[in-house]
Amino acid sequence: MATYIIRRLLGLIPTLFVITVIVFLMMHAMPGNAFESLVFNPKIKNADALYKHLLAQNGLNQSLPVQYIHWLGNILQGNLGNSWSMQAPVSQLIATYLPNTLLLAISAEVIILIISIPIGLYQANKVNGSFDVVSSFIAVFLYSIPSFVFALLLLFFFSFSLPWLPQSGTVTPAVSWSGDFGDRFQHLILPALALALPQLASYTRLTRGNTLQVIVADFVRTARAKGLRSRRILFRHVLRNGIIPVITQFGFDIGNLFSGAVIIENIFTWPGMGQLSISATISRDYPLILGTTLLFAVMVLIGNLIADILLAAADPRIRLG
Amino acid sequence: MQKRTVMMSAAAVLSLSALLAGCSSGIGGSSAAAPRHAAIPNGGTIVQAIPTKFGANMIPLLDSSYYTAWIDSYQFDSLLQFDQKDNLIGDLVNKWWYSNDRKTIFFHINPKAKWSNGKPVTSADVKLGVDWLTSKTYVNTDQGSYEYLVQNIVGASNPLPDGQTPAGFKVISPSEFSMSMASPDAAVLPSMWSSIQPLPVSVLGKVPMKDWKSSVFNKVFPIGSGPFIMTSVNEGQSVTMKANPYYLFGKPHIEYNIFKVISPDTVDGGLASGQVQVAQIHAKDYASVKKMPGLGVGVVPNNGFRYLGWRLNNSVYGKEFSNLKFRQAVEYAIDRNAIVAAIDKGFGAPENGPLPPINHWYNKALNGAYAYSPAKANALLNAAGFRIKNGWRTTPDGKPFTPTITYASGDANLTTMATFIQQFLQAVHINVKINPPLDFNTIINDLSNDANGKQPIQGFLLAWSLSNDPDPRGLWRASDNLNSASIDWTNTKDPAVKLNDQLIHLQHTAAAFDISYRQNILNRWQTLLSQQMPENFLTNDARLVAYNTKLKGVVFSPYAYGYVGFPNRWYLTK
Amino acid sequence: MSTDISNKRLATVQRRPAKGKSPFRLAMERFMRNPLAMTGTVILFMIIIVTVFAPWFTHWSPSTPDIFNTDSGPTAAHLLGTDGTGYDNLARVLYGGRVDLTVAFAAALMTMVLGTVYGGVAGYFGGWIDNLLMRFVDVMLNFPFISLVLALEAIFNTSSEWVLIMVVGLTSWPAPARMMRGVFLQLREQDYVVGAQTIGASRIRIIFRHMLPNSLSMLIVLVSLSVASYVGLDAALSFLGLGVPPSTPSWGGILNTYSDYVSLATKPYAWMPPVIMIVLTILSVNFIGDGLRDAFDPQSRS
Repeated sequence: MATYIIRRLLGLIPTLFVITVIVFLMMHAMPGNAFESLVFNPKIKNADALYKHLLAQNGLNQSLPVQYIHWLGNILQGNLGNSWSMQAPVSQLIATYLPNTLLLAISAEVIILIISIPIGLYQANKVNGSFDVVSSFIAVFLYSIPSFVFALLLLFFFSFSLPWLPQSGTVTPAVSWSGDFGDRFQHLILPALALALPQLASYTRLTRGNTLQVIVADFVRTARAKGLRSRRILFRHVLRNGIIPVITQFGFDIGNLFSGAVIIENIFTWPGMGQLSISATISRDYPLILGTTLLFAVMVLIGNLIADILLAAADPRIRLG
Repeated sequence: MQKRTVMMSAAAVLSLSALLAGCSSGIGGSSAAAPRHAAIPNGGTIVQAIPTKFGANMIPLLDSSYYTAWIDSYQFDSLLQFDQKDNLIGDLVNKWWYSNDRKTIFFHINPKAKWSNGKPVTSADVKLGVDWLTSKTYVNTDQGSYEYLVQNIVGASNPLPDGQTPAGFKVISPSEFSMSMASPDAAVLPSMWSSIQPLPVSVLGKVPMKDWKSSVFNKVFPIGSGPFIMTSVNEGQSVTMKANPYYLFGKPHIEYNIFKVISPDTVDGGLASGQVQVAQIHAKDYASVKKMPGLGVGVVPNNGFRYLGWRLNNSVYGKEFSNLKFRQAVEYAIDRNAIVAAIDKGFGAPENGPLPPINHWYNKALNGAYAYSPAKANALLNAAGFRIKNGWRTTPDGKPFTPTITYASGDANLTTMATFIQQFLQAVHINVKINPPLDFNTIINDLSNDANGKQPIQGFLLAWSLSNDPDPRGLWRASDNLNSASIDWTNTKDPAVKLNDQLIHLQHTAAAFDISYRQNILNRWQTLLSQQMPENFLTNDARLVAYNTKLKGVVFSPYAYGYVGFPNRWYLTK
Repeated sequence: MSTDISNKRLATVQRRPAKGKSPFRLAMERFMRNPLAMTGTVILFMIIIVTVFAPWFTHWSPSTPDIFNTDSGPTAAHLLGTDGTGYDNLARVLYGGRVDLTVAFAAALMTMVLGTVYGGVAGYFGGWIDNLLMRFVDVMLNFPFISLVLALEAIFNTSSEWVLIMVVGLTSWPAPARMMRGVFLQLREQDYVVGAQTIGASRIRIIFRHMLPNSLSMLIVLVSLSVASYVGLDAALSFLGLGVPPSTPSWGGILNTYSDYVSLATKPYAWMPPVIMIVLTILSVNFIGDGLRDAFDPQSRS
């Protein structure tokens, strides 16, 4: 397993390289140059002189590859430049906002998995039963509603009409229990649900479909022939094999999850990367835009890596192959 | 999405204390005034909604975000404030007087003025506030926006090394100090010096100014002289403030005031469900919100206006925009009454000049100026040589004329307004395009860095918010950064600019201590700008503040942040 | 926006055609017998009709503001009322599908073309070509749709349906391409491909004549999923105010106008129609996709 992970990590290096090249080229396509977006601050007086000085000082008249290496060196030291709209280093902003997004995305993922896998398994076990038909229909229906519509409806019902849950933020200010587990959990429910619900449907369908295929496989028949209880078969044999495509799908969906978070965060005033990147875009805050773009790419990369490792853990053939 | 009430935060037009209960000359209004008996209940928590995230720098005046300035105004009182009749009244300073030559003003600090840790506010604290605004760290390194407040003090016209006090500032005793100017100035006190905020030496005195921004005080500022003191800051979502027990005008009745960032899409739901007590709403929702149980809506006149600026030095169409007939034609072409009716649902008025009709100093002779007339607009454009070819006007040189309009993001009303303006201008054959919205501060920054007119912004739809005093300095003179930044009118060769600068000078000279003289000069100045249309004045939109009816004593004010003032007088009923 | 594709990959067990009728014909017959799929087809067809022929259904223009008639409730002239800019809501709903469907079909087209090309080349040739192409897919997979839209809007300082379509073109294909590669890898081992190779058929012929038809069911599924996910995504982007310009009607744009609590509570006549259109579109495309999968691959119905 360790060798597999190391091999997989080494395999990331070329991908990471190309990602940084793309982001670097995007930076060059933006108004201003690579250095300008590292220190860009439109309020600086006498910017022309400063700019020329900095150009010379940093060798920006040099060729693109040299500039790229400089830039990469900065990135590796955690220097993503300064956001002029937020008046703070980009890396510091990301450090503040990223944990909230991770919390939201991971919670949504957990909701998806703990609800969809059992439902999918149960559906497949009693295929075309009434539960299967009804829940399948609901699943398709949920899948058809965009997450921001869900978010608005959830808020409408559970925060405004029935004042059960808070409408925005991550903690309740000015109370003694501000920021404790229960408080954070309460704030997390609605946004995480809004993010999870549309995906829930597709994962249920996925689990159901895979389970159906595994259930007819020889080893399951053998297990049944051996007289094992059907619950045991379901969880010991079917689940393990049926879950593999779910993990693959999870890898693909990480990007979607982050995209979804961008919208959900805005509705719930959830101070995460989504809010940060939208604010960067309307402010044309180029260092921040590049920082968030790069970070999104890296997050997806890491997510895929985790998915691959999980896959290898579930299916030994992969790490040996 | 951020639907921000767009306002100028960095302008010379912003008053920091800004606490005028807007009842003068029949404008404004306040909800049921607090009854003056002892039964006012104390305690409770209120949430005020702000539509978009606030800047995270909590050292006073360091941040350029309007919302951070709003938070600042709760924590720090300024030297003086304004009463209902637009007169200066005491705040941290309770007595002040001019020297015989009117070049020096003496100030005496209110003996009741205390910091929230119980220590008295002293001249040294005022001095630190002045030093901060003149320091090189504040002006150059940290790019602060409020140095204009102290620039008229002798010796402070340029940034000074950190900690150096301008020669014109003198500490006389712990409770007395004086500030001097080079020549007598009738406007400097109301429009600038009154807004200076003393800073606590006990907290910031030992920290070098260059370290302020990175200090722990910039995260959560521990003490203040205002009604509420912040206890915690959740970046991007909320600031919690607790009542200041030592507040000069008595401890506030409300125990906790929370500023919370809430998306405009959900703020009305927060009001309806009692999660939010005070929030601005759109005019179109006035009737439905008012009908909701437990909610009231205050209609507050706005001491500000929306305008359509044209980048007069633009490298593509600068010549066309600089043509006075073009700008006058645009003003005739836009039906501002219809815009007030459609967007503001009648809560507002057309704007005719640089001061809004609700302003004390407004020149009433301007009423009805530039009444909607496409015919006059067409005639002016024809006279200026914008000929029609294939349905659209060309430049006088015969080139295609397709100017763009950029508007600030966050306010759905601005999107709608841009659409209407496009339609009105297309009706007089000007082929206007609308650019995607940009953040307000980004537009201002882009314009400020546009010496060669190469920035893509051509026409721009923005809003100003004005201070109590009409002093146009900081914005309208040829030497003012903000003017060259926003419209560049005063950099043109226009002879009217000379008259403009002369009138602005006259309105603050020694003679202008006479109110009627100053009014007369300001009237002439407003007439001039209305003729010259350096920017197209659009509408003066009233603001609607929805509030929970359990909250009493709220004072609606055109000059207060969020249009509600005197939070120390508010209280919650059961 | 998710694409539950992998199960279909496993489900794609190739079947030999019965005698007499072509496999395509058989599949179509099965499809026609599927009530859900047929309902989906009819609904989608109707949505496309009202969208394409919107001028036949309303005489209002969706992009001409009426400053003297803003925020009106339903009237005889404006059946769904007007919005804050005086646009007729019904006209916005009818024309609104143009942007949403164009973006979705652009995604479908990219998925189809690049999915086939990628799958075909990588899956058939294998080796270093496959490796190189897959590394490229790996890179592209790391740029989520919204993050790329935000960056490109800032670079080009514009927001229009063309930016959307461009980004859709960039981000919609990598996952399907990877799926198609998997299918072709499986097909390569099939007897009939090996057979064709042994009798000396050209590579081009093998790819287009033998492998492509057999990967069709998978491709159809991918395309239908792609359509479904991008209708929702475009609506979401318009909701953020970063989609198409406000004068261009889109379903998400209408929802954005009416997404506040007051409107949700009091103006269902205005916000329900675009929601219904979005949901119906995704639902019907989903049913069609399922129907096609089942039709081309009867075993998956189990």
